[in-house]
Amino acid sequence: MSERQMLCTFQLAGQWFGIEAAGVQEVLRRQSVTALTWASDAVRGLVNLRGQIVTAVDLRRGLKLPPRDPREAPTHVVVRVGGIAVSLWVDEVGEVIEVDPATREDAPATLPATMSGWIRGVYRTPDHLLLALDVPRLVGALMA
Amino acid sequence: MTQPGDEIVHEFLVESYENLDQLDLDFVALERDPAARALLSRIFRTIHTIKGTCGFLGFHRLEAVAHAGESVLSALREETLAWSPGISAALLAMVDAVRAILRRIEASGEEGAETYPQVIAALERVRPAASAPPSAAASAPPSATPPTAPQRPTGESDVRLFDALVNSGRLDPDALKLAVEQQRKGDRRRLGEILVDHGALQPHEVLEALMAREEGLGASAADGHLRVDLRVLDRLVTLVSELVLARNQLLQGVAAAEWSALPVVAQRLNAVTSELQEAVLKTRMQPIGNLWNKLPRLVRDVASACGKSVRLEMEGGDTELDKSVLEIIRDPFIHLVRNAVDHGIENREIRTACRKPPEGTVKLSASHEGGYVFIEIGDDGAGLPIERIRRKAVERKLVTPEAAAALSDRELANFVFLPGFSTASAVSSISGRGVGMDVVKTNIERIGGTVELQSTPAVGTTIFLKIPLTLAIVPALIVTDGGERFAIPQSCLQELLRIEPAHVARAVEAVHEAPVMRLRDTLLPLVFLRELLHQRRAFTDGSLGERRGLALHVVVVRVDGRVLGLVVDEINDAEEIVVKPIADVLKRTRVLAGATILGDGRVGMILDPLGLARAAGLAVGAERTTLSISAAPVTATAARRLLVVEPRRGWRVAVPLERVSRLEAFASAAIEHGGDREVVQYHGALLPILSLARVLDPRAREEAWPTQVPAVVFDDDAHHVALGVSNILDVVDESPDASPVAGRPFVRASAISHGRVVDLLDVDAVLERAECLANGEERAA
Repeated sequence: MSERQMLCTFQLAGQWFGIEAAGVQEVLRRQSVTALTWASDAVRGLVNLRGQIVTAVDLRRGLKLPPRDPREAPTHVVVRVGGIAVSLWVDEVGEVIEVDPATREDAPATLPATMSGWIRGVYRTPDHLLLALDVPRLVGALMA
Repeated sequence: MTQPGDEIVHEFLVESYENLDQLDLDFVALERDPAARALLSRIFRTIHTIKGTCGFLGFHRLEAVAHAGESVLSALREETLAWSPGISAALLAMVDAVRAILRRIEASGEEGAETYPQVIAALERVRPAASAPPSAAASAPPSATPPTAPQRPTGESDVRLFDALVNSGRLDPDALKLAVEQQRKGDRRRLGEILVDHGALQPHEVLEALMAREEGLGASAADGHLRVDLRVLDRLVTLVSELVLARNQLLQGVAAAEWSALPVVAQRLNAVTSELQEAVLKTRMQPIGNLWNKLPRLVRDVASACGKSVRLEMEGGDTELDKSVLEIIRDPFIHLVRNAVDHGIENREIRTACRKPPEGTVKLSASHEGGYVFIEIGDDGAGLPIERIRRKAVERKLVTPEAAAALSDRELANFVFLPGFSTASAVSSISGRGVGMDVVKTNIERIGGTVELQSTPAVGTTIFLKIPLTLAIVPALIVTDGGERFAIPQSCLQELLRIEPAHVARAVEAVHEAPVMRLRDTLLPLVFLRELLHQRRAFTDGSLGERRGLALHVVVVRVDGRVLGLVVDEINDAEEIVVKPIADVLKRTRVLAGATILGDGRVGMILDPLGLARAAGLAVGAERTTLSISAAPVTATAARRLLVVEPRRGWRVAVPLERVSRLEAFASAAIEHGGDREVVQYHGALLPILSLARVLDPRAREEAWPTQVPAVVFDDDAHHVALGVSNILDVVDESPDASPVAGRPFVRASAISHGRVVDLLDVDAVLERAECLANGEERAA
């Protein structure tokens, strides 16, 4: 069975990732964030999304990637996980691409352990390797 | 996946619970007035519907129980059987059995193995043999036929019922015509049966239609469901269309860069938004009567179990409060009423000996006032054994014997709210009164309410509850700490302090590494919000070091019987906030109750006072300040008296009473317009009158005067003006610890009075501004 799947792509520390486009609610540039410095490391704060309060999660921190240059504002990818909206901070959003799940390959064993638990597999696209991220698991772990 | 059948069962449960609640009420009413035929009919109908429906759904044990009850009810209705207490008890036992089976169905989807033979037997015993239907009907489960209702008029109303199905597109009109035709030709079956037989309808559709029609009977909504007045919904729809219009105007204005049109649109948006907010909140409002409806049965059961007779009086059952508030107060409230009957009211012999009427009275009343619902639960029983409480307080070393001797009855009575204060072995006659009272108090205080108790020996006990109308909108104090803003519910505020830099070192001391502050006669534990949030030790040299040379801002919070001082960077303003849910992960820090969106659109966090106290309890050590329940706070003797008024509802300001000449209420008809000025005749002269809200806030909307204008008159050598307000509230002593406020015109300081923030006005500046306005100098200014 090869039902094509739409992935929303984004970049984190030079690496491309993909998440299921169906789960993405919207992409926002600049948002004012109320910092929650004392919460878990990856939970950065709260954002007012048209009256709904959304938790902001920094994926660089969640995946233990090197921190973002503080001068660069993150892009917010708002996803719905288990009925709750969460704003994922990424470096830059790319295109939405269509993939065939049958072409998915296992994640390379060389992937750092801090990341491999959240990667469902790898797709080869003409330009780069795309790591398919298991958003519900990752968000569940970061917000547990 | 839920199956369509599950939905019907769910509907059946919701509907039946509602009807049973009404049934309890009807039974208790019927006991008082056995001749009330309307009540009897309604009870009969409810049981009949349950019987019919559960037969249809295949719950045959439930059906058998309901059937036995129905037979007795039917005999009562036909007057072949006379009402007696025995019948009443048997029927109530039947209702309880039905409820128990329904709960099992809800939990497991099955009705269980219990057949309630003793309930059925009791019902059969009270029923005269002549009116007993063939007993086979009670035991043999009838075949699954659609519910039938012989009491309902046939024909006409059935057709109307099915018309509704046709209109909603679920039934083919021709099929209905055919069925009606068949009935006319002599088919004696009900239309529903014929239609199901023809395959035109599914049995559950007939059932749903029948249930929809029965809807009007139940009075209360089941959990998770809400009945909303149609007019309220209509109003919402209207307001939303208004909102859309306003948006369109705004978009047009922006597109065409017509900036001059924007103020008008903004004004319109503002008005529509406020009204919409009010209307939306209204949908959540439920009369407290929904909760009270459960009480007559409860009072009856508890009273008869302890051999007392108790009358329940209820007043103000139409007082509305938010559905979620209603849910939260349900258990505490039932607890209090049960206590009143069980422990408050004496038994008949004692009452007769005390020359009281043998029947005790429990009286409930509810009313609205200023964003709160006030509920009283009073009994005319024996009152609390004050002397025993006094002894017990000393025994438990809560107070010294000397202090205990000085405590008033009222202060002593409040000891019953301490956790585990009275246990059955220790104070037998008030056992129960104390058990759980702390839980009641905690639950009520958690939602920003208060509980007070007043007891007079031999006269009775009254419990006063003050409960916020809604949890959705909370008056809060906004503070800043570490660059972020936090909201603290005003209900828990006691006072605001500002300690000048020069005094910090002297005012703040450390006891076992825990910072405390001397506040009048007590030691106030201090908690630095930032440290609390980071779960660091409460007191490090850094905490104060970071603030060296700065004034210390302390919010004194009282919660759960403790008082603590929360140190923040800045105390900002009072604001009414809308509570929004946040992710559970953030709640785990315990100090956050939720979040809100502040005036500038940014998110602010709402602090949970109870969580703060708990978290601080860990940080400060187990040490508890137990002074809170003892004597009233010492007030400074030379304090100035302040007049508290509301320029607008919900906004409190205070002026020194000594500056006020008189308080008046002017009829709006007596206010004369002279050009831009408004004046009233006062002691033979013209006195300019202005709205205080407009004086303080130039952006305030100009509003028409109400019929009666409460006004504060300033009439001395220098000033000659009346300031109209929305409300004149109170005269209070000025707190010596009002915290100075900078940057807000006319406001000298902020203080807390009666749990609300009050702005202390700079009277001279206000009067100066008022006179400028009165002299038409506004435009010049």
